[in-house]
Amino acid sequence: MIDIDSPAAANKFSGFKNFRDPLDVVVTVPSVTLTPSEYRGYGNSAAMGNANSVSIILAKPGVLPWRLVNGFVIFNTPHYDFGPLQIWLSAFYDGANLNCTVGIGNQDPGNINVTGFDVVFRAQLYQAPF
Amino acid sequence: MPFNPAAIAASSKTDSDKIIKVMSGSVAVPSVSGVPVVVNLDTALPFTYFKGRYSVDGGATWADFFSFKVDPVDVINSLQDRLDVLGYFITNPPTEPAGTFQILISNFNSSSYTLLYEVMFIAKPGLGVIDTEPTDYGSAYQSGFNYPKIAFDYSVPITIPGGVRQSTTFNHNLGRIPFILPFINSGNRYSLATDTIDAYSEVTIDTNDVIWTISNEGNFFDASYTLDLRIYHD
Repeated sequence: MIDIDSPAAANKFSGFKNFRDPLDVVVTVPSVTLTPSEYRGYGNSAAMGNANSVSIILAKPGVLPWRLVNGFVIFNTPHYDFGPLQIWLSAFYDGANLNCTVGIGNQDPGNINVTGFDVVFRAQLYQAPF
Repeated sequence: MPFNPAAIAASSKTDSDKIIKVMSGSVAVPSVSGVPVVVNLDTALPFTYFKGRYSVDGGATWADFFSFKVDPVDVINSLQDRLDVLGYFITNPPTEPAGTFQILISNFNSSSYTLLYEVMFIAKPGLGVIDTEPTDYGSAYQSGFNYPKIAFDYSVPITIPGGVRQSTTFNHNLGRIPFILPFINSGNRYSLATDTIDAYSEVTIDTNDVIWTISNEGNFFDASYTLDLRIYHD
């Protein structure tokens, strides 16, 4: 029995170790014209190595704030409805690579012109005791 | 976002994560059937922070919970054909016994899998006195690692009226973009905050605040949650 909230317990638990230097992966969405109901996806991945790890992933789409991305978390989020333009972000770490995807879609009955933008995905790996 | 020693000068007084239990196993997942595979783990823990991962190739590669895998055969229709793996504590016994951690696996791919899973449970404040399992991994300093320092732990109960989208601001004033772990207790589940479980949830981060927005726009009734947020120095 250990009181988890006691400072004396600090050395009786394994730490949750991270690896320094978070990794950035950039996905570039080019300027493009989307026809009605057209959806396109863009992706990028980078090797991260460090097996036995789990991740926390943030993303910064264009001028928007950083936000947390966990796998497929951001489907159908109104925050990313810019008028007729819908944006999804998806990223996951597979034990070897950070895989990032940006989806854009047109919800308008007419064509829309999308101005290109970058999405920066930033991942920190944490060593798991597996 | 480099490590910032100046922000944690009093390092001996700065708390770090504590792993209190690890659980693992395997389960057979049939090809697309429309029926999720459910794994219930008896953690004997109060609900607490966690991170989990899974493998469908015998442990060669792993992916975090809350991410999906697409079968290469089905990649053309990737939004529909995929393997989703979620993990959360059940918080509304007697649906499941207290302390049940549930893994929910939905397979829309045309392949069947033997799925391996591993979950580590991380102490959050207020757990108090608990039983722990012996571990064979120590916390001795290793130069190749950094132990992430906890800057803030927040736990905030909120109620959102029906038809409303509400934001809650958590101040950190770190002057940079911190990594975070946000968990939400909906009364049914204690889960990493995503829009896939119980509530649409969006977490944005700037150099001073974490802003957590939850939508209750689709309901006529009030919704109550507890938001637990861990903000890291590094």
